[in-house]
Parts: sequence; structure tokens; C-alpha cells
Amino acid sequence: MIGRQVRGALTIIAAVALATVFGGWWALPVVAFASGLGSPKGVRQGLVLGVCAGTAWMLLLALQAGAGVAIGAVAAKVGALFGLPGPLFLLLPPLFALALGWGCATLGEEIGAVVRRERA
Amino acid sequence: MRFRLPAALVVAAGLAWVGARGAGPLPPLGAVLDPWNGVWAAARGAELPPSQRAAIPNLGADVQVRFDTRGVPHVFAASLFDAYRAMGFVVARDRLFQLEVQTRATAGTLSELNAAALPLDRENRRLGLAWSAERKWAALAADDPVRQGLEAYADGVNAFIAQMRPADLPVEYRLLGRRPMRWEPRHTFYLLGQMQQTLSWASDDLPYVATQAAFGTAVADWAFPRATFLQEPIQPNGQRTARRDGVGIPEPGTGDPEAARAVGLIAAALGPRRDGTLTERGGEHGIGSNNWAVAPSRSASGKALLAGDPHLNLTLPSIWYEVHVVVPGVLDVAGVTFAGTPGVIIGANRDAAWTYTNTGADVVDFYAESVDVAASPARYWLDGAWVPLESRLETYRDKAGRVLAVDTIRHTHRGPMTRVGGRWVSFRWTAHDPAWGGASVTTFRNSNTVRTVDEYWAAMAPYAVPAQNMLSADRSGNIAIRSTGKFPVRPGTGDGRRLFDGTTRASDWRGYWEVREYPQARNPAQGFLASANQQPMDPKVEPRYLGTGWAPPWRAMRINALLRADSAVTPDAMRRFQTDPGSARADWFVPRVLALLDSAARAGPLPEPARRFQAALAAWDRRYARESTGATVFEVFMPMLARAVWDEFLTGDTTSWRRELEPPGNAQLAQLLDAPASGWWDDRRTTTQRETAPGLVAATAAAAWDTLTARYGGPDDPRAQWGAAFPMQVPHLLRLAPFASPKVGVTSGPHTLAPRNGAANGASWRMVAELGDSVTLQAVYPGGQSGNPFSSRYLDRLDAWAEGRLAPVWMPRAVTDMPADRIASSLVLKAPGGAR
Repeated sequence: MIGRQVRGALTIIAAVALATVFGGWWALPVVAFASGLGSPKGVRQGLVLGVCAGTAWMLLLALQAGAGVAIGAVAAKVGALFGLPGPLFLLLPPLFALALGWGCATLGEEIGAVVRRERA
Repeated sequence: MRFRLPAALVVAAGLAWVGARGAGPLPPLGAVLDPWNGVWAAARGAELPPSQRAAIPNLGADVQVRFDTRGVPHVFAASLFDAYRAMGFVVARDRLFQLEVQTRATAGTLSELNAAALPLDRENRRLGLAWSAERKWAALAADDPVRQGLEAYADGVNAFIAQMRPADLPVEYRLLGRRPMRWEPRHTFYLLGQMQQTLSWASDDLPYVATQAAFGTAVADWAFPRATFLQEPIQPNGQRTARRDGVGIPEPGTGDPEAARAVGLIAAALGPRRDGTLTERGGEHGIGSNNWAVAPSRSASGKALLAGDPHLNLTLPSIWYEVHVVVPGVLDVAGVTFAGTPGVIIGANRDAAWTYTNTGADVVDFYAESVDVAASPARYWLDGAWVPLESRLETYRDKAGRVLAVDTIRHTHRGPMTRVGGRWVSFRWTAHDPAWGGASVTTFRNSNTVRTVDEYWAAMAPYAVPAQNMLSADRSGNIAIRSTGKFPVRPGTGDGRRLFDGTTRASDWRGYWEVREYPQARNPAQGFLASANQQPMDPKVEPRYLGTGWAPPWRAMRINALLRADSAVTPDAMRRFQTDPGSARADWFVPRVLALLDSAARAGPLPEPARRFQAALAAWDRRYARESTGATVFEVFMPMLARAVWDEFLTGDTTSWRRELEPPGNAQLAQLLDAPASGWWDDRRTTTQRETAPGLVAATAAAAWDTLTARYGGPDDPRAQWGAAFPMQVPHLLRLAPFASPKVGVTSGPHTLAPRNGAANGASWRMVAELGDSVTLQAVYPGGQSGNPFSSRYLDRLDAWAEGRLAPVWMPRAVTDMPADRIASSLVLKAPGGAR
């Protein structure tokens, strides 16, 4: 059971990451909404989807840092434009993804539930 | 749980909105924070790839480009237009956002990036630069080589935009939520228009007329003289030191009411301007460009030497982009180009080198017009008849395309009109003439292939605006300089500093100076030539009016003194001169200020701060070394002295025409030091006594010492050292503080050979060329080749620039001459259909 949940989470993380790379940030709410819409009846996993989305975006940042991209320098300079210290700015992408992923996934779940009720 | 759906709806919709559209000052956050395609990607694309291929439409043959380890592209093309296509491509790759924002600034479309720029856009369109750029473009026939060259350049820019990877999008676009606009060939004229505005728009018309209005014509003629107080002209006049000229110093007199009526009209036509503080010319900053050349007879190697040192507003990225272009049998030229202009503007080829300083001639005049209906005129009165006005609707839009404002700009035959209450004023400006757009591009293009200074003079003869002091040298040992540009011939006295009657063509320009009449010199007996924006010709040689907005002579005096003192000049000496810490201004002022303090002390004991100031100033060696505290002491004092002396000009009045008063130049202050009883020393705020020079200087010295102590902790504090007290910082193009350079201490000061102000004006490109059997070039500019703030090439030249170092400019003749260890990146630009 736990293994299935972990596999599911990893699948979502991979899906969000790939969708972001190839589709841009708009892919995240689409994937999250679709995942929520397709959630089994009665299973509320909006928060899990949100955490997966945040994790996916964090991994993409880590991947670039690992490839030698100066993520820290970008965070410091762009963060300063927003009046934020670099480390705090670095947290914004995963937090943004988490919140947006949760919101869209939850929205998908609720709409899915309504649709299913209507059909029933 | 009943709130789960509404909460999710609010969060999802809110974040989607902020992500897509932004909110308030926030940009669209989705595109910014996206971990793969957002701002982080700008760092991913910051460095040049080891090799790359790309295609450019209309390319006649493949072009090889090699970026050397200094980030300079070496373009090897089979034809000139292919070279321009390649230049467009590489400039776009390094400077795409700069290309767009510079163009928009002149076009008056910055509000499409940010609606807050609407006032600036309205002002720029009122000046008519976009209008004139379009007329210049329209004046070019389809088969005009200028048109074809600009189209080729645009091919390259647009090819880069079409093929760029997500990581290539400059970070500024990501922050603005925008995509790059398409580059149109006419945009080059917008860019040149920006330079015309920077270098030829301002004139002495307004301060002269305002001074006339406040104090009478005699004072205006002294404050803004046709003959500068110290004559050290560009065209050598045979003297070995600056000749002290100038008229006697008139006392403040009665104003001229007619001039007062003209002030408002000229001010309105000029547009928004200073804030009441001392301006560059009137103040103590003393910015400006230098160039000089040495004949073989005075160089150590027996070769001609040339130094170029144009000073402009400094930004990151720089206005300049270094490039080397080879088209076998056509040209082989290295130097700097403007981002957005094909060809090399300043540099050298295999035979000659050339560079510029700004002439600063008066090429703008103002005309009081009579119109049929003041509120909405359709015609203007000219030589006894109504003449239809040309009208142009200017529409301003925001980033979504919504109309923000619409202006109607009306033109007489002279130029755009501006309304002031019920009155209208037009202006004529050489920058507007459509015939000269192509000439500017043609002259720069032709300069790239000259072999001698004579060919250079011929190539640049049609050049129009902004007038430049064009210095050149060739391998045969010739050196030459000519102030080149369209200099108007005016009716009457020829003086342009007044409001002309617009109702008659008799007020119009009669033509322009002949090229042979331009200030010029070729291989002078003194063995060197130099210019530093000073008066080009000795008025005893050429009394005709050319303008009065010349820089004070301090830099010219210093350059000439250095060159006179060295009969075996080397390229390294030329380099050292470019950041020479000496100051002719300090040499003039310091002894006189100290003498005035002595004089004050004889009348009574000086206050303690004044005595300490006197001791510190006396101990100063008058050099602007980074560790010097004397320089700081002097530069704290000088603006305070100018404010104290020119209190009659700095009225604080912000409502009447008097707000347009501008203090006289630094040379007038220098002249006043030798007239200690002049009425200008009197502080008009004290009604019971009449101040003289010793008293005012002593009081200012005491105040300066107190300021120095309060601001920097005193002369022993490291903060008071010149480099720390007045550091340089190069700002980002959009003034985004995190993208600015760090503050660096520099060995230079106001009116030294590396003049700068406290903000961001300074040496934009320094080069030294030696011309003998071959041409060798060394150069530097502040910043780097890349416009990407995350690139290692964004600021890599700053330290060398701050320390006055130059780097050799490499000019390989062919790709095969370039060893692999000096190549950072290879780019092959493919012709459609493959290599031919």
C-alpha cells in the first residue's frame, strides 16, 4: 500500500517536472487539476499533489544547480529586486508550486466529485 | 471542510492570475519562478556554447564567427552584407534586450513595456526623433546600399530571435513578461536618433536667454561667452600655453523683459530639464570625452599614435559592443559598434585608426510661431500668408495594446511645435533632416575601409549630426582632426541663442558651413593633436558663431601639457594619460583659493575648520589618486563654493521663468578668483554687508570642512579617501540595482582626463592605437560583452577599466590564424540551402 503511494507520488513528481520543462509553468496547474479530477471517489489528495508539485519544482532547481547553473546568484540578484534575500527567493518556486498544485488539484477533486454525483 | 472548495478556488485562481498577469509591481510570477524556463534559465544560457550553428535568411554564403577569450566575435564573411547579417545575429545574442529598450526609448514606446514610462514617451515623440527616423527610412530607395545594409543587419537580429532557445531569452523580458519585438531596419535610425539627442540637443539657448532676462546682455555674454576665458582650441593656434582671453567681468545688471518673455517658450520646447542643482556644465563634475594623436616625430617608436576616449552615460550592458569584421578584399576592421548599428563606429583597420569627441555646436534654434487658432491650430503665418501645418497623431499604448493617450504633434517647415499657454514655439534641429539619415550610416560604413587620414576626411565629409571632433591617424604617420557636422549659417549676427521670429523665412537658416571651413588640422607643426570638447577654433582665427556650449579648457590644457612635456611618447604613456590623476583645474584653483584664505587670515583669525581646510588643501598634491584625501577635501569644497558664488542664479524660484536660470560655467568661477572685489562674490542674502572673495571663500572652507567631517568622519577616516568617497558604479540599463556593478574606486576626478560625475558618466571606451608597419590596438570599456547579468562576460572588463589597463585587440586575418586556445566559442551561420 505504502509502496503504491510512493510510486504514485513519484509518478506525479515526474509528470509535473516533465510537463514544466516542456510546457512551461502553465503545465503545473493543468497536471494538478487533471490529477485531482481523476482522483478516486472519496480520496482527497490535494495536499499530496501540492507537495509533489513543490517537490518537482525543487528538483528542477536542484538539477540545474547540479549542472553548474548559478542558481544561488540568480536568487540573490532577482530576489533583491523583490526585496527578498536569496535563500528566501529560492524557496518561492516550490512554495508557489505547492500552493498552486494544491489549489488546482483540490479544485479538480471537488469538480470531479460534483460531476460524479450528477452522473450518479 | 465546507470551505475547501472556495479556498481552493481562491488559491488556484489567485495564483494563476498572479502567475500569468502579475499584480501591482509584481511581474507575471509564473514565468519568473518557473524552475526550468524562468529567471533561472537566464543563468543556464549565460555562457557561450563551445560551438553552434544557425541559419540566417538571405545569407549569400556561410559566415564563420569565432568568439575569442575576451568574448569578442571575429566575423569572417564573403560579403559586406553577410557580415552585417552576422553582426546583427551576434549583437542580438549578447544584447537583445538592449536593442529593444534603446529603440523604444527613441520611438516613444517604452510604455508598452511599462505604462509608467508614458511621460517619457510623450516627451520623446514631441521631440520628433521617431518622426524623423521614419522620414529618413522612407527617403532611402529600395536599391540604396544603406537600406540594404540595414535590412541585412535586421535579417541577422531577427534570425537570432526566431531561433533562440528558451534559455537565451534575456532575464529582463522574463521580469517584464514580454517577448522580444521584431527588429525593423529603420530601428537603426532610432538608435542614432538617441545619440543625436544625447550629444546635440542641449544648447546654451535657454541659460543664455534666461541670464539675459535676469541680468542683462552683458552678463549673459560673459557667463556664456563666444570666446572661452582660456583659449586652448582644438585647431592649434600656435601657442604653447592656454591664452587668457575673455572680457571684463560685468556686475549683475538689469534684466531684459523681452528675453524674459522668450524664456518660457524656449524652456517648453526643450522639455523637462534640470532640478535646480548645478548642472554638468555649470557645475563641478566636468564630464566629457578626450582624444589625441601623436605624430611619428614625437613618438618613441617613430610611429603615429592615437588615443580614443569617448565619455558617455555608462550602463550595463555598455552602449558599445566590441567586434572584429573581415570581408576579404573589402574590409578588415576592429573596434566598437553601437548595439543596433552595422559597422564599426570607433576603431582601426589595417591602415588607419579613428575616434571621436563631441563638438557640442549649436544646431538647434527656436521660433515663436503665429497660428490661426491657438487651441487647435491648423495653419501658421509665414511671410504674409497662412501655411498648413503638418499634423501627426501619436498614439501611446500599454503592454496589452490599450490606448493610454493620443497626442497631436504639429510641425511647421522647421520642425515640431510646442504649446505654451496661448503661444506656440517650433524648433529646427539638424537631427531632423531626412536626407542625412543615410549619410550617417554611409559615413560610418565608409570609415571602416579608409587607408589614410585623407580618405577618412573624404569618407566623413557628408556626416551631419551630432557634430564630432573626428581624429584619425594612418600608417604613413599622418595625424588629422576635423570637427565635422552640419553647422547652420544663421541670419543676422549668426548667433543662435535667441528666440527667432517664426513668421518670416528671413529667420531661417541660410545653409551650412562648407566642409573646408570646419575646424581642422592635419600634421601640425607641434607634432600632436588633441580635443576635449573645448572650443574648436580660436575666435581670433574664426570669429563666426559655432556655439558656446564648450567644456571648460581644463582637460585640453592637461592633455596638451602632457603631450608637450613628452617628446618620445609610447603607447603605454598614452594609456597612462587616459587615467592621469593630474588636474589643470586644481592647478588653477588651489593656489588661488589658498591665497584668498591667506588674505582672509590677514584680516582676522580664520575659524578653526577653515584653518584645517587650508592646511589639508595646501598639503594636497592636486592629484586624484584613490588614496588621496586632499582630492575629497577639494571636491567637497568646490560645489559649495559654486553655490555660494552663484546664489543670484540659484534663486529657488520654481514658478517663474527664473527657475530656468543656470549658473555659468566653471571657467567663469576660475576667472572670478582673480577679481576678488567683484559683485558676484556678494551674498545677496546678507543685506547689511558686502562680501568679497576672501570672506566668502573662508566661510565656504569652514563649511566644507564641517561637511567633510560629518559625511566621512574627518580626513583621517578611510571613508574620506577619494576612491572610497567618490566611487564609480555602473548602473543597469533599467536602473535595476542588483544588476549594477559593484562600487569601484577610480583614479580620476572632475575635469581630469578620466572625468566622471558621481553617478554614471565616464570613459565608455578607451583605446590606444599604434600605426606603423602594422596597426596595433589596445582597448577596454566598463562592463563586458554580454548583457546577461549572470554571464561571466557581463562585468569581466570592469576591474581593468577601473585600474586604467587596456587589453590587446586581436585582429586575426583569417579563421585559420586563430589558435584553438584563444577561441571560446565557434558559430557557423549557414546560408539557406547549405554552404555555397
